[in-house]
Amino acid sequence: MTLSDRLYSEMFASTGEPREAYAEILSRLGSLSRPGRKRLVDRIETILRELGVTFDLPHKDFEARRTWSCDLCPHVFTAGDWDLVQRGFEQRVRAFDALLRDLHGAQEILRDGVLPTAVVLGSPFFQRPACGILPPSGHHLHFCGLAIGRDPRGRLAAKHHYFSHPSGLAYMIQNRRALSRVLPEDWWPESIAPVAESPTLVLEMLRAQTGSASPVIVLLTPGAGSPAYAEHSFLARRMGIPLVQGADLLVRRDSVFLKSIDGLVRVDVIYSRVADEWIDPLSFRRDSLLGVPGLVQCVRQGTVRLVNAPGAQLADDRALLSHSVQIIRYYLGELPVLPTLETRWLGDPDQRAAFLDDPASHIVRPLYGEKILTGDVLIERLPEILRSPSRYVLQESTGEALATRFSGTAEAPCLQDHILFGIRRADGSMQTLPGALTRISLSPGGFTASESGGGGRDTWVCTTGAEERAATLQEAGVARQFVTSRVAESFYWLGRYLERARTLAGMVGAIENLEIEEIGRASRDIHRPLWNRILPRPEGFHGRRNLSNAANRRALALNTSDPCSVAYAVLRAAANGEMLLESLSVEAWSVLSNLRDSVTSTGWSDQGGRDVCEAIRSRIAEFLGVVSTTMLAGEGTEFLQIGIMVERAAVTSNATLALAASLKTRAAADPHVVEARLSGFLRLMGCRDLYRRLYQARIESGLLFEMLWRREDVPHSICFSLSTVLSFLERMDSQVACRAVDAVRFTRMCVLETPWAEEFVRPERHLDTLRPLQNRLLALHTVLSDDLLSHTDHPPRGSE
Amino acid sequence: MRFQIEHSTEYRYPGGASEAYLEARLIPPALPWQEVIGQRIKTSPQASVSDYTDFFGNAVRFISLGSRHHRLRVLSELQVRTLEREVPRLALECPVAEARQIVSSAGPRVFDYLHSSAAVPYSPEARSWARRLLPPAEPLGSALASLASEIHAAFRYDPLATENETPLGDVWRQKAGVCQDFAHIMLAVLRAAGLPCRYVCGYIESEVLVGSLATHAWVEVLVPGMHWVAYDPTNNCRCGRQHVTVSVGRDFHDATPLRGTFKGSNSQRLEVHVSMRRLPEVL
Repeated sequence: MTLSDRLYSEMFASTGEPREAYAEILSRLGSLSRPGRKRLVDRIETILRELGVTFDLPHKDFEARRTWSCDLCPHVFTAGDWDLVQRGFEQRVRAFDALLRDLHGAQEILRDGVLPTAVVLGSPFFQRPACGILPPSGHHLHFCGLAIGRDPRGRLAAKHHYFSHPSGLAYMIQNRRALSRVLPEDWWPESIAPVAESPTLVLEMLRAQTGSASPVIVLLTPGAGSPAYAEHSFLARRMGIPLVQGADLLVRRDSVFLKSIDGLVRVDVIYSRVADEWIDPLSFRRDSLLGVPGLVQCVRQGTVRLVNAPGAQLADDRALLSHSVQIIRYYLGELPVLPTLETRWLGDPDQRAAFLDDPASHIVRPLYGEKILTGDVLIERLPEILRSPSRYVLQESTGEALATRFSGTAEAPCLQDHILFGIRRADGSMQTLPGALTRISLSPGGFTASESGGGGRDTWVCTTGAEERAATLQEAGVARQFVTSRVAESFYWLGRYLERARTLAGMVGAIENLEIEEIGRASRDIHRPLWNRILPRPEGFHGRRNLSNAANRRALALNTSDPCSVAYAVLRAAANGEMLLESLSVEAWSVLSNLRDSVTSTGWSDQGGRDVCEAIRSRIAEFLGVVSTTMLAGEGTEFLQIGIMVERAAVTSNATLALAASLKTRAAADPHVVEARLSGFLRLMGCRDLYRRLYQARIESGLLFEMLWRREDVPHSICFSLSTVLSFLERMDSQVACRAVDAVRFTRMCVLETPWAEEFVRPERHLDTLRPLQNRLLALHTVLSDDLLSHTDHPPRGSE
Repeated sequence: MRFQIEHSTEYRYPGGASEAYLEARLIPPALPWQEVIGQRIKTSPQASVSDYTDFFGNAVRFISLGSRHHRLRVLSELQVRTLEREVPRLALECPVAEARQIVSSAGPRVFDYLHSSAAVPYSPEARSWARRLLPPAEPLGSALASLASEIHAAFRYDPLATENETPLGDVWRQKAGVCQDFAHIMLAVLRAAGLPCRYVCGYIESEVLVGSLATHAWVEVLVPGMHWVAYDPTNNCRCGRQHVTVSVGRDFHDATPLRGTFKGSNSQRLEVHVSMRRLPEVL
């Protein structure tokens, strides 16, 4: 049996003629030459890749972002079909919103015996902590999705409710964006409804949840591990609201706050893309790291609005889908406009018995999600299903229509269904967005769901003009922009690790030079004790690094399991960069991920330590260059610079302290040894030439220390680092940076007021001078971190 | 009887914690046989608090602390008066099968108390105990009493045998545990017999009764007339004036006196002290 034997064909009538809605577009596509069509298909692919539209498959490698695919042929809704699905969708949302209100309150529908109690109270999505919570604006559902397809009789039917956490709006918009750049202008009907403003409508709806004129709204995402992360990121950007993870928010005095570099900012509305059971470890799953402890209590107290309301996921339980008719009748007194794909709950003993007569002939689906179990897979999973049958339903079909896809090298049959989106208007009624995410299967035997490898096509809905066009947008105030503390912190550590890698690579390179090229055995003995003091040692390691052989030097550069190696610092930097995917420019991330790959690959196996170090240093420089030319100031990049400078100051102060200590040893009584050591030290720090240019004299310790601590024109110096940090902090012009500004200013003053030349005549005094300065310097990290990044000790802004 | 109860819970974090969020179920309900004369809940360091009523009707206090701390103590000081509980004699004379039919007709109201829960899963042991001890024709009261006494006889009270999260299957196997386990076992058998029942957390006055110096746990069974009748399988008795009810739920997880989430700390040590003193009756 072939696909076409049993499925409703969306594009062609049984005579083989194109259906009316498709006639025009199919004839136009037919008029293209084969190479002409191929060019268009390729262009769509390029555009989507350039737009960065991805949908990652679960369980696939995180690096392998899969580019979204959009077919050349759009789906066209006839006016009649659209009217039907739109009315059906809005009716369902009305009924299921009433159901959610009832089930989280008086439960009259259960007491009246209209729904089986076990279906509701036994549902894993019935959240007891969500009972008694007043939903925002009196409704549980504000932004909803509905999957529709064709039932075996060819009728448009509801397949699944995505009322609580609709996914796919971004892909609907991107499909339109891609196709509109490819299809000739005169192919587009004039009455086609635009979809690009949809995120603005979502934003309007979110803004309407509070009385505040400029509410703070955030989009809560599970993070980059979520397959739909690209969508979360797209929507947040389009709406101009911060994309946050659980750790970006915290609860103080029954209110939710966003940790930003401007301090704690009270959040009014959360658009949540995190499933109910993960949003608050105190109320729901104890093991959730994605949520915000105490969030549900804030929702309960009404200090923050969560959209959709907690508990809403119950409306998407497939066991309830099978009772759609009763639910619509009970709450609305209406007959369903849109039929439901026949669904039967396996928790019911009769259904289970019928199923067990011939399991392989059925289609089994879990209560939620995209999995479809049929045939061999179903038989394999049978024991699991029978262990908890109440977590599964039977559906009469998978609910797709048959269509044709044009994206491959040749036309091919595919399965097709749609996800519609609806938003609650300020007057409480629902508005169906005039478009859909039409999903198609991309391989024979494949499914339409994006999680199962499906792709999409643009969806055309023609409005008759009398209908509502894109909403007239209210004049919205300019949204406040926030750099979250998590983003700032990742930038800060990215900067610190990159600088650590850069300076260390410089040192390893310099040692390599000294070892191989220039110095004899005797002078090596002058340098090695100093190297041993300066190079970082792993915790608990007290021996000396033997740097006399090339393999050890290479290891210091490339051994990723040594936490003191250059490669390790690079990996830490890349790990921080990975947490910034939504903030880093694509170009910057590509340089950084290349750098990471090169230290872990064996590509450098035949090169010496010095060449490797040079390559690492030049890629780091390239990364910083790309950041400065591809990213806006104020996106958190100042924390990259602050991190670099704090690390540089730490490296310089550690190195100068090690030098000071080495000048107190007995060997250092010999002026030749001292001079050689100072010279070697400057080479290690990469600033011997600078010294010569500045002082045009033989190297002496007083001047050297002055140069590396006090001279603001020397980029290696501590005063240079402090001044740079200061200029960034001052530009931030924020209340919370005050303490940090004072601390940096004061430290800088202490350094400037130290009489370096005089102090350093006597080597034994070096350490006494340097140690307190260094302690002050290291304390700056704590101030920056406490005030700007973790917000631990200060009461929230806006509280008394 | 009048009691003065002090219940202290202290968390200590070796490395310090930066934030702490707690839900405390420490506020006893007013009941026909129980009057709360006064209560004070103190946290140190001082934290912000707010109250709500949960799904099971418990008064919950939400406690949050946002500044760095090394220990957190929650102290509940409570004065409560208990009276003799009225026993619904007629209902207890009803045969088990009839009782089951009457109470299960309450549908959605009793669903949660009839079905397995996270800490009280279905088990073959529970089913066989239910068949043996709760036969259909037996009067409910005597069946319940013999169930409590069988559990008391078959299971050993041993504070070292189990921890908070020990699965009930292990308790069935080793036949030992603490009041929480005894209560869960009794719930499992009652639910296997189709009798709605719930977990109760509270305090018990004791010199000889097991369970003081910590919170205590027992079981309430719903009987015809929609009365909850309380049995204490750990002490093999029906609950009386020495039992003070604090919170209820499907099992331990719903009724637990304190549950918390901490940030900035990898581990915490928990110390709980309960003292319960009888006060002279004032007239």
